[in-house]
Amino acid sequence: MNFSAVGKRVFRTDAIEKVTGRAEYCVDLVLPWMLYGKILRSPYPHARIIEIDTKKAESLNGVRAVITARDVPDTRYGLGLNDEPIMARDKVRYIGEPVAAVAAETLEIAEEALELIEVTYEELPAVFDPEEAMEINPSVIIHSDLPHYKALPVLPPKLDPERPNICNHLPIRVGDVEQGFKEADYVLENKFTTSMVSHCPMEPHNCVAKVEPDGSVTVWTSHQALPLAKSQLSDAFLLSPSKIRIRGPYVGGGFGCKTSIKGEGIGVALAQKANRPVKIVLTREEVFSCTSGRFPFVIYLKDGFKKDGTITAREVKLILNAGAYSEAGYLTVRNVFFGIAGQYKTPHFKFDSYGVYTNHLPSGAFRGFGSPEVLFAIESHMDMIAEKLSLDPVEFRMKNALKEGETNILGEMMQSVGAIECLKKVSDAIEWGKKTEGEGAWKTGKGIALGNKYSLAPTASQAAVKVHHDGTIEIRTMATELGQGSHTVLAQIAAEVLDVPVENIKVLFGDTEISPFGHGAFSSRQTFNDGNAVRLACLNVKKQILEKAAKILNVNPDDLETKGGNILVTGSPQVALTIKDLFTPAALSGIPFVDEGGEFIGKATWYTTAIPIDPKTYQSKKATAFYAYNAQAVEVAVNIETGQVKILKHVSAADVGRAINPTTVEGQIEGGMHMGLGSTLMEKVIFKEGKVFNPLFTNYEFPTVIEKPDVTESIIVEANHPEGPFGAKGVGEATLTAGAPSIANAIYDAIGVRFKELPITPEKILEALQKKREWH
Amino acid sequence: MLRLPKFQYVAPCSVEEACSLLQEYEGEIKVIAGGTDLLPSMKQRLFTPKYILDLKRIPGLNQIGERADGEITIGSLTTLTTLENSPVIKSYFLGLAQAVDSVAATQVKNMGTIGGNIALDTRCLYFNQSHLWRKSFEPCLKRGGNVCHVVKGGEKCYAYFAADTVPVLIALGAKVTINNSKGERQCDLPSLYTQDGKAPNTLKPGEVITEIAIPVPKEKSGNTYKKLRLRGAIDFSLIGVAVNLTMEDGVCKTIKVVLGAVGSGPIVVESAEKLLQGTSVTEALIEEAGTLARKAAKPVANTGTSPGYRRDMAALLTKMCLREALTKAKVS
Repeated sequence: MNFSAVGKRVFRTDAIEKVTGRAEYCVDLVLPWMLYGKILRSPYPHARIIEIDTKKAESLNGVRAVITARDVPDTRYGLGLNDEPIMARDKVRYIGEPVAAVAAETLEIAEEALELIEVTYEELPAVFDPEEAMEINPSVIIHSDLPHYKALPVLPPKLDPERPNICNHLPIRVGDVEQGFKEADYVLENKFTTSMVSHCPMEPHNCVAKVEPDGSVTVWTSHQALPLAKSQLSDAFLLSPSKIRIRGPYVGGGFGCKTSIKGEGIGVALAQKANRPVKIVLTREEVFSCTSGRFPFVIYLKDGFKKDGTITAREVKLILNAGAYSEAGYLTVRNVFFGIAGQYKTPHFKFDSYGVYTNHLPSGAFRGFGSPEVLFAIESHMDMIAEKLSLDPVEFRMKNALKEGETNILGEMMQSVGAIECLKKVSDAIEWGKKTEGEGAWKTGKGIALGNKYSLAPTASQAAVKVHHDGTIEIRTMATELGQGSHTVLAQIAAEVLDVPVENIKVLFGDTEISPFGHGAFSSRQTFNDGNAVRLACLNVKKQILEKAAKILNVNPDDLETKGGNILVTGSPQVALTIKDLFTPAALSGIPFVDEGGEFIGKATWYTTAIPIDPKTYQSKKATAFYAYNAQAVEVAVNIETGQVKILKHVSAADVGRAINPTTVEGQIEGGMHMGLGSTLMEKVIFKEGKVFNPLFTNYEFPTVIEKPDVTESIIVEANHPEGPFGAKGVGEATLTAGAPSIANAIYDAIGVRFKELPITPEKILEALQKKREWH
Repeated sequence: MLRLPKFQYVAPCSVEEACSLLQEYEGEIKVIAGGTDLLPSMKQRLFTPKYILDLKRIPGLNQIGERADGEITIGSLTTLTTLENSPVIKSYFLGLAQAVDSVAATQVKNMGTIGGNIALDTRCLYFNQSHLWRKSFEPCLKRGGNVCHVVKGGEKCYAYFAADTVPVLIALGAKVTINNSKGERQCDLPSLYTQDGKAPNTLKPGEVITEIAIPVPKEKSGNTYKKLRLRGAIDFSLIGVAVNLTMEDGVCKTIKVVLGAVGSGPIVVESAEKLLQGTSVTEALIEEAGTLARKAAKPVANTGTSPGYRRDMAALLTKMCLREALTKAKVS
């Protein structure tokens, strides 16, 4: 197809304002009469709150409000399972849980006031190990009222009355797994674990809350999904959604951690009590130790396979440490399954995933929503099996990978499957099969892995597109711009449909009173869903324009087309009408108007439907929006004296359906590689008895630019999706899914040691090498 | 973002004035040069001094000079970047240039000074945390309390001394000039350190380091520094090793082996020095020296990395440094 805007490497619509430092983020916002809020948090992982004495804090000069749970409604909010109070009431469940808050004239006064609040606690026994917490009759119950908590009817959690700390359980049974193991020539069984890693967005969580004269509230927030914040605040404050306005300017990174409110509720409560706007900015330490991180996983994996490499059965048991509150995490427990479903043909399958409450920091959404973690285990196993059977790991994967038109475990018909092309591209780029020589203590090896990421369904996005008389186009969207380039993609889609230059498009966003509905930036969904909404809204407005033009020209609208912002009679190169010609000049004003219908506004809703998974057959013909594929190949050098790992070459291919903007897609692929490097080799939130020991960039070991490998290659694969806008799917999360196993497989190739625990740090490598020497 | 506590800023124009102010406000005043360690610590409320005394207004403390008696002098306010780029330093003391390069990222090196690195405070996983974070724990020895959270039952503070330049300065035989209101004294570097994590150096109230003097190495010498950390920037040292040796007719005439970050002060591995001095520094002896360095290292569990790994790396880095220094000495 010949596109004018789609597939072009156009400049990002936000490029100039961002590189010149003029783009506005929530953290920049200052309102008149604004106060500064600070949150007092629990120092205990599990304790009863006996008394909170706020008198001294209240009497400090400059303090305008002090609040505790007594000042807010006795409610709970969540993202499907409402288990979290605005502030701890009666008891605290993790270190860092809010127990009181202060709003003061300056941040210094607010900090000083926090020191004056006296809280008396009675410590309770705590539980941190999810396998201990999920037992029948556990010694510690985190939420004794769990059966009475409100849950959404769409994708509801499955509780277990016998195991009161389980916040969600997904069982899947397809075929007969025991039969499958009987049919197998080999059975391989292993346990894998991952550690909590943190998102590390540049902009910390922050918000400004303001109470309007009519009692409604306006909240500016650094948030990925404004409707979710609106819904949570509505539940928390028992306010009609029409009384809550959420405004979200550019977001300085999210990666999943800004899908649940983290201070917005406290901001509203302080603003209500002080009757002044209140700003809360979390410190970096609070972001690390009081918000949420990626689930620590325990993965039990059992695979049966034939000598020829055919998988006969797969059994997976996942235990996810949800921490004290479920927020987006309860859904990870369910959706992690799709990481397995999208990957390989599996005739007999048994799957159980458990989300378990503990007194740990809550786990939440994190780029990939469980797929990178579970695929670390699956793709490590695939290499172990290939070695056992003396098969080439690439061919072995290609043999078992789902192909176009095949059905997966769930019964979904696979479409737009770029898996094999991704594998081919990366194996060529890494020169798969060609051994390289290490030097001295550095041993080299290559590894490859396949990954995929589904996108959530059901979901919806709307868009409104307005055409102005000067030919500029205004898109109104709820799509969040958090650095990924969504707005540029939406502008390119609109430019393509309306055939106008991308520069003519303006994207209005970030205000629930202006933007139509859109679920938000999560599950790699915006290009697919908001992109489709914009595409349809543009077609809608184009129809209105052509109908109007047809009337003026007295022709059939079907004989007209738009080109370069003008209206042409099809087949003639001559401009028949300009956009301005469709408008009627006004008196007293140079700005004309549309004499019929008021304005040219196109509107559309894109709804990605889903069929619920049948609880008896565990089948659904459509449970996801799409699957995006990723393959990565790495060449590593492992130093057998220090245990250090250097990535010599890192290549990643992502099947994005269609790259609306290849440059921003490459940015996502590159970012995914770097995040994969960090979460595989370095990153770990260190906990001792529920307390985070490395809550700073100086001691949380994430990779800096220095760690970036010298050679990286981002490869775009385009298996067009029939429902995607111009064939496009989402890309953000898929790019992380093959990272960990490709690196772990390369390390194995280099030194013959298999790591089943993330991260793979130098000291673990050295320890494993020493053990290996002792064994031989 | 954490904010600085309130303080008053004083900026004397002479060393004498600085010393008398430091004496006058003893206990309430802290010295700032680059501020790269002090300011983050103050944001965490590890220190809340009433006054901060800035040395940067004092002229003449940021020069690198060469004395007639064959010593190179470095003013204590010389920035790490200046040192790293100095042709004098690079030609005589490659190990020092390596150490300076490894301290931190460019922005920090542009501010940080050699004097600040020498007078660096010790660090600990339980100490270098925010005020709020520390509230979960009883005050430890370094905070004036009675317990050590790292070494249960420990009676001294085990916070580690991670300055990168110090092991190599000791290996090079550097001396520091310390000024007080009465005058100045020279002190060799090892005696500047107490090996007590709580108060790591012997600087008294009213004293400032003004100059570092390093003897120009004789021919056939080699000095080197190696540092282990998890990231190529930002991270403090988990173990640092400096070696300086002189060879004459194939025999090791002088040798210094110094470890950093595996104790509460720099550790001179005298056992390894004795082993190697007067020998031809064979590969077998290097292996043995590594084992001795491993024994001399005293890391405890006060970083995110285990003490065992840091000890193993003390041995490895010592061997690597010895080999490198030997090669350099042979070609110099």
